Formats: sequence, structure tokens, C-alpha cells
Amino acid sequence: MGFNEIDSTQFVETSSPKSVNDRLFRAVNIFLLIFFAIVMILPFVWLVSSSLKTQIDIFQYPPDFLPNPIMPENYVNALTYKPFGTYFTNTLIIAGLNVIAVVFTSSFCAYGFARMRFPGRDLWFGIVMATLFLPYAILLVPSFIIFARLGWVDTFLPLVVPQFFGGGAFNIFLMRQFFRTIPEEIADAARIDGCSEFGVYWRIMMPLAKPALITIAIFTFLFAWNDLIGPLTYLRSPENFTIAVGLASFRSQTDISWDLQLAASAAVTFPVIILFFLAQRYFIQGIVMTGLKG
Amino acid sequence: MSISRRDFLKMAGSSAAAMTMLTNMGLSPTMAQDVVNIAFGGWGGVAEDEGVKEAIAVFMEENSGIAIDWQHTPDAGEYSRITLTNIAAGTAPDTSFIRADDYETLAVNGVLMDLTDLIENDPLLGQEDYFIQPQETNRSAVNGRWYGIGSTWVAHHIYYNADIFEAAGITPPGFQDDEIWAWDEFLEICNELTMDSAGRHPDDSGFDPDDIQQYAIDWPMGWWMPLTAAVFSNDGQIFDEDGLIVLDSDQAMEAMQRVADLIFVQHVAPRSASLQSLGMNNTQMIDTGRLAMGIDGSWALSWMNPTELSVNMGTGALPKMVRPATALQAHFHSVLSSTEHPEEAWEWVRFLATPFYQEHFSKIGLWTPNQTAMLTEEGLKGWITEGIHPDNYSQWATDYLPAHGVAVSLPPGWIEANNDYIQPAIDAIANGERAVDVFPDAVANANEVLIASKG
Amino acid sequence: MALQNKKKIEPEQNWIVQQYNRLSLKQRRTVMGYIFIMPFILGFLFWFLIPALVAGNLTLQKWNLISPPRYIGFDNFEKLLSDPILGQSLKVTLIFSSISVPIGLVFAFFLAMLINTKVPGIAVFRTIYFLPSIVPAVANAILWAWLFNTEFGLINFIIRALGGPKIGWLQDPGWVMVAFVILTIWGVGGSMIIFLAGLQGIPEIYYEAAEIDGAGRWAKLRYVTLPVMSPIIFFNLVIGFINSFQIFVSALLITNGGPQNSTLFLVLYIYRTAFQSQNMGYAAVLSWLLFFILMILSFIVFKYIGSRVYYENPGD
Repeated sequence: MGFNEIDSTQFVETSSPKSVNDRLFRAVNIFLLIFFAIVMILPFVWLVSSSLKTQIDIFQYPPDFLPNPIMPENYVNALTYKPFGTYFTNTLIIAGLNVIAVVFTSSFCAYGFARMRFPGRDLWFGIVMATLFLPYAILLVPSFIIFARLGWVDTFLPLVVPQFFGGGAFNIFLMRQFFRTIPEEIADAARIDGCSEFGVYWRIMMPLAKPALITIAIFTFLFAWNDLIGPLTYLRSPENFTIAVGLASFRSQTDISWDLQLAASAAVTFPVIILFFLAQRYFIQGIVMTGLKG
Repeated sequence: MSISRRDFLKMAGSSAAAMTMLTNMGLSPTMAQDVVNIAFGGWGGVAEDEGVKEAIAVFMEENSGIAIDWQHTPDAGEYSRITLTNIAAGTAPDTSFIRADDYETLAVNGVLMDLTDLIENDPLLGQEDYFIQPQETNRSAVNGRWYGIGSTWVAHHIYYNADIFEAAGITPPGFQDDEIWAWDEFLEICNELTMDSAGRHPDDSGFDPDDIQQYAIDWPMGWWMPLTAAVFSNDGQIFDEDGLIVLDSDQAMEAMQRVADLIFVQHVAPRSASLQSLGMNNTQMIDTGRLAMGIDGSWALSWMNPTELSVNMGTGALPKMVRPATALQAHFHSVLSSTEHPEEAWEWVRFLATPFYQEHFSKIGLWTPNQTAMLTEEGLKGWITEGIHPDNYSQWATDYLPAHGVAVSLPPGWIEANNDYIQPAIDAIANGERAVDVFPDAVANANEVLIASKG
Repeated sequence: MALQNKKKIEPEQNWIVQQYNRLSLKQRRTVMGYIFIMPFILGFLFWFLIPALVAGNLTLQKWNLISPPRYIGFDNFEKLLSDPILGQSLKVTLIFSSISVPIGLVFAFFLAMLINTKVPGIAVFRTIYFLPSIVPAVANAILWAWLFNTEFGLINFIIRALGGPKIGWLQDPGWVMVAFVILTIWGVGGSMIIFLAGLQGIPEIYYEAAEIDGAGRWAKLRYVTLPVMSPIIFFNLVIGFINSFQIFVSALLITNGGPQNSTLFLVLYIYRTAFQSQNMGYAAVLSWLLFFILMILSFIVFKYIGSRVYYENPGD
């Protein structure tokens, strides 16, 4: 059984809504859709509207959604107070390298787990899953000491290099699930033709895996984009900072520039919104194809 | 190929002679004079960041052989963690801001360089009354030695909306002894200044505590500092001579209860709207006429001042219970023992204790001087700024603080004891529970932590 | 044919390839298998095992980061048994997890069904629903601290406009848990998308067959959708559960564990113990405790719920 391209606009109803019952259901459906959309987006709308207000205006009570006067300068000031252009570039580099690392190494490892049989395989896969349980923050100090001894503090290396070693349990798991949905026959045919295992991986599996790869690429990118603890711990010089760190620079124990903070927060979210909006079709397709069902 | 022994000795001898000659002529290669890099770590918001950079520029102009590398982290809590991790890994900066909470712990563990002799022998800093005493020694001396220089003093006082006071016909508070209210007087005035939407005061019948339009006072309970000001005023202490917490003394609990009662009994204060962890404050309530008086640290003057606010404002001292008092605090500037350039590091830390640096931040309202030189008439002119400092503010610095400011020094283990027991107890009374119900246990538990930390 | 290129082996070839070709098929498979998973193994050694061993060693020491560590035997473990703050921390973490995970799961599933409809502009709706999960941590914290502000937050404004009381969201130990559950549920975008993908992967045939059997909407949901989706529900359950135990940044930024330690979630407590109380040894013990708790709970979940999962293609 091959697989078809999933039309992402498939819907649950199998027949076009004819009866009053169906129409009612559909109407309720749409109503709920809009209602919850408003609920979900309200905080964000509030964030954006406040980001366009003056410092004093933000604290108006009762709260007012329309900024008066409107201060788009907040955005300019926020993004120039600290060199957000540099932060943007840095974050892009780190996230980009992360994506490359994860896409290749997690699929590589996942192929081993999914398509090969060898003693100890299930044990090691169990270890992969076990690493999901260890919180990020726990290994912080021992890891920091190791990296400091290596001389990697204040470089991007601690934030990038570990990703080249499998890219994380979550990604290996997803890719493995995906590879398991590919029928063995395709691989066997390639092997008969003289393809080495690497060849099967690279020439057969990877092209088929594009949607799944896009999925983990997007997840990885989002994580790297928003990661705060990593950069905060390992980066010292301002010219190396990422966006998440820059975002934290508007507040201190005693003072906070609300107008700038809110503007920066909103600004930082816009690129990822656009990214998701454009990529969602592939994103969802990819998850479908990892065949999480079985 | 082999050299004969004689030839070898000849060659050796002549080259040695040549070297000696060259050295005597001063032509032998020597190391060029390098610029020494001093790393300086610290935290702060926009204003502090800019201020430090300016100070670095001035310092580097005067000291061409030293380059200061400013490592800024916005949040003090994060900075603490990063510094600790760096110390553990051996990558600590040469000089640094040190939080008062961490000061003693770091000092007794040998992390900070002993500066006592350097300070005493310094022509400027070593003068007997260079700093406001006895407060400066109270906070800086750990077993008699100094491990850092206090950056400034900051303390809590009242910020008030002058327009509200004028409309009500009440004289606002000030800093002179006769302008400081006694507690009962304070309560009466608060009652006058609190109104619900129908214009009723708390002691009027039919007053609706859920619909208060204007509050008289906001006394923050998000952390210990503003609350302990009340404790000092009621003749209580935070610590006793052994360094153990005594917030369960009758005076201390009575003081804290009175503050909590402002919310729940007299209904003159809002539910603590301040959330210290995010730096939220009561500025806007004052500015929009919903709050007559807000208590905040003197640092808040940098944004709660005549220029920034749209209403007329003023400053005054906290009301007194037994005697006037407020709690003093600030961070230190220290040299870390791990530095490889102690002299240059000292030069920088010393510079930070000279008037230039302190003036810069005092001008914008962020700091109040701890250097007496800045409190003379001449000195005051250097930092009192029109539009930032209200007319009576020099009295805050010259009269009130030296007389009534109580320096706080925090023992090792305080952070843990506070996190685990003291702050939760404060949260409880800010939520309506009685101090006598929560503090005795909390203090007992907290002291166990302090005792364990001494070991 | 392509045969020749791959199979012909020169006698003088690479020593490695020679050795390889000497192995039996099973041995070759083993070698190849391990080559493929080698990156993970190496990474695991360097970035997990070694730091974990260091952390393990730490459990027997007292170390405050600024002076040399000291061995104190099992004192840290003894503290584990008598620490009232730990008890509080475990309690709030478990309560939070057991409330937020089921509600989050149901809500995510519900939203996924909502956005699985053919409506013009559905892409916009999907973005809106996914948006909250990608708001950066600092921004999220400020946003919600603001919305929940007792005196002038938006939420209290709406509640009071509807005639309700002024709730001390972040000051009352009872309400603060509700606040955190709300803000966590706002961010279920991630699991929602996974549910959506799952829903779209259900073959049409199943629904058609059910209709033929006379199934109405509810029946379809119960007998087709849910069973087929059960592996995904299970997946999201486990992931959601692991994540809920690791809640940290929002608690640190919004309430710092308060009020009265009612949001002192376990990871926050560990962080505090390590960096504020400067007790690395005890923090290490707590970390291992968390690890074991998660392993045990996951085992329970796998055993009792995992057995109910319906797999379409029962794998190896």
C-alpha cells in the first residue's frame, strides 16, 4: 500500500450538509471556531495594542484597546535600544545550524532504529526515550563546567554541537515512527540492486521523508528561536546574544520599560507567525506521515 | 656531523658574550606594554546599562592602560546564577556588582578580595567620614574586614500625588522631623483620602470596600524591604546580635500586622498590586489619580518624578510608629579574588566609589549618595536636578537618611531562608492571614536554615 | 548493470572493508546498525551520561559552587526525607499535572476537531490557535502577569464587568493554580496540531463504513475517531505529562514560586536549591528524584493505558 498525498482540507463529514441538522451543526462549528479564535487571540491582540501605547497609557483602567496616541516609535526604539539586528542574525545562525544538524543526524539515527535489526537496538531505543525525562535545566551546571573546560563559553558551540549527535529524543522518535511506515519492499528492491545501507538511507528514505523532515525542522527552529536558558548561560558578549536574551534586557529588578518590552515581544513573535502560516501545510502533512497512528 | 668540543665551547662562549652585550645596550627584546583587560559584570535596566557605559568611557580616557569589558545581564537574579556558574567553572569576571544578599556568603568563602587596607590607605576613600557612618561600616564589614564598596544607598519613602492633597486640603508629608506623621495621624489622613465611587470614606456607613475609586496608600508586600522599614520604625529588628531572625518579636509582628491591616481592616490600601519579580509598580495608580500615596524605593524617582508624571508630585518620609525609620540597602562593587590583575581591578572599583559615578546615577534619581562629599551644599549642586528631584529632596539625603536610615546586612543562608519561609509568611499576611499565626513558625524554620548555613 | 560497481572488491582494498566482508550477515547487520545510531550513542555519552554521572557524584557532596566540594555521605538523601518544602513542591506539581494534562488534552482535541473543517481561511484560524505556543517565554510571562493583575488586569476587568468579584489571581494560593492551568491550556497549540494531523490521517473509508452501518455523529466519534486516534492521544498524554512536570520558566518569571510557595513546581525548586540556596548536592538528589518519578509514572501510564491503545499496524 503506497501512500497518497493528503489533502489538508479533508473534513470529517462525508456527505455535503443537506439536512437542517447538518447545517445547524456546521453553523455551531463555525461559531465555536470564531469564538475560540477570539479567546485565543485576545491576549496577543492586547499585547500588540499595548505595545503601541505610551508607558502611562498602558496602565489605564478600565483597559482600552485603542492606543491613543499611537506610538509605532516603540518598535523602532525597542529594536534599536539593543542591537536586535545582530541578535536576529545570531539567532538565525544558531537556529539554522540546529535545523541542519537535527534533520540529518536524527534521521540517520532513526533509520538505524527503524529499519535495522541488531542486538541491543531496543535497549538503546529505550535509552533514547529515557533521555526525554531529564529536564533541560538539571544538566545545566555539569554541562556548563564541561563546556567551560573546553573553552566554548561565549561561543555558539554549546548551543549547536550537541545537536549534531542525534538531535534529541523527540526528533529521533518522530523520524523512527515515520520510517516504520515505509514498506520493506522498497528497501529490499534497492538492496537487490546493490545499494548499500547508506544508499538506501540517502537515496530512498530521505527523499520520501521530506514532509516529516520539514516537520522536525520547524519544531527545531521554533525551539531554538525561543530558547532562553541556553544562550543566557553560555553567551557572555553582547554581540553574541540571541533574540530571547535581548528580550530579557528591558527589565531589571527595579525598573521596566513597558512600552519597549511589549513592542520587542510582539516584534519577535511576528517572524515565527509568518513562518508557521506559510509552512503549515507541510508541517501538518509531515506529522500525518510520521504515521503516529501505528 | 659532529663538532669538536673546542669549537662548540667557542661558539657557546661567543654567543653568550654577544647576548650580554646586547642586553647591556638595551637592545634585547622585551615585552611590549599590553593593555590590561578587566571584566566587569553587572545587571540593570536601560538606565543602569547606559550609565555604566558612560562611566567606562570616562575611566578609559583617564587610564589608557586599562580596558573595561562590561558584561551586562538584565536581571539581578539571573546575574547571580551566571556569576556562580562562572566562578565554579573558573571564568569569573575580575570585578562585579555583588548583591547584598550574596555579599556575606561570597566574602566568607574567599571569593571576594579583601579591600580593607586598600581603602584605608587611599587618600580619598580612606578619610574617616568619606561615607555616611555608621551605616556604611554596618553593611560592609564582615568580621571587621571590607570586601566591597557599597555603590549607593536606596531606601523606601512616600511618593504622593500633590493634586489630591491640595483638593483635600491636607498637608502632605515631608522629611523634617515635624513633618513626619505619627501612625494614628497617618491612619486618619488615609481615611480622609480613601473614597469609594459614591464619595464615602471607610468610616462612613455604607462604604463599599469592593468599589474603591481612590486609595490613600500602597505599601508593597512583595518582598521584605518595605515591610522591614515598618519593623524598624516600631523598634523591632530583623536580626539579633547572633545573626538570627527576630521577626517574631512582638514589635516586629505588630508592625507588619499594621501594614497588612491597611488593606484588610482600614481598607485604605489596594491588594498588593506590585509584583516585584516583574518590576511592576504603583506609578500608574498615582498618575491616574487612583492612589494618593505610594511607597516605593528611592530608585523609583527615576521614573516617578515631576517630568515623567502628568500630575504634581512630591516626596515625604514614611510614617513613624515609635520612631522614624527606613531600611537601607544597595549592591556592592567588589574585586574577585580570582582576578589576575588586582591592581587594575582595584583602580576600577575605586573609580566607581568616587563622586563622578555616583553623581551620574543620583542625577537621574536612581541613587541617593552614600558619600558625604555629595551632601554638602557644593556637593548637592552636583546632582540635584530640577524636574527630577522635588524641592525637599535634599533633606532626604542630608537629614533623613543619615539620622533614620537603618543599614541591613544579610547573613549567609538568608536567600534560602527567605525563599522558603519568610517570603511565604509575608505572602500569607498579604493575603489576609494574621502575623501572629504565621510568623513564629516561619521564623523558627528560617533560623534553622541560617544555623545550618553557618556550618 | 549496477551490480558490478558495488560488489567487486579489489584485494588491496581498504582494510576496514576487508574486515567487514569477513563478517557473517548477522555481524554485518550489527555493525551497520551501530554505525547508524553511533551519533546518538556518542552524544548520549558526552552530553548526558557524563553530566549525569557528575550529578550522581554530586549527590554525595556538599557544594555551593564557590568553594571546593566536600563529601558528606548520604546527608542529602536524609534531607530528602524530612524536607517540608519538598513535600509542598511535590504536592503542587502533582496537582498541577493531574489537572492541566487531562483538560489540556481534551481542549487540544476539541480545537483540532474545530479546525479540521473546510472553511475558507482555515489557515488563518490554525495560525491563531497555534500562535500561543510560540510566544517567547519572557513575553508570555509578562503578558499573563498583566492579564491576571488583581487591580487592573484584563481578566478581572471582564469578570467585574459581568458582576463578579475581584479575584486575587496571583496572590491567593487557591486561585494561582487555576491561573497557571489557564495559561498552560492557552498554549496547547503544539498538541493540537499533532491531533489535527492525526484526524486528517484517518481514512475516509472508515467513516463511510460506519455510516453504512447507520452511525450518527456521536457514534462516528466514539467508534471510529477515538479508537483510531488512540495512539496519538496516548502520545500526547505522555508528552503532555512529561512537559507538565517540567514547568519552570513561567513559574520563575510570573510568581517566583509564590504566593506562599503554591507555585513552587519541582524544577523551580531544584533551580532555586542549586542557584539561590547554593546547594548543588541537594539539587542533584532532587533532580534524580524527578527523573525516577517520571520514569515510574510513565511506566504506570504505559502499562495501564498503553494496553488500551488500538494500533492499526501492530508493529514489531
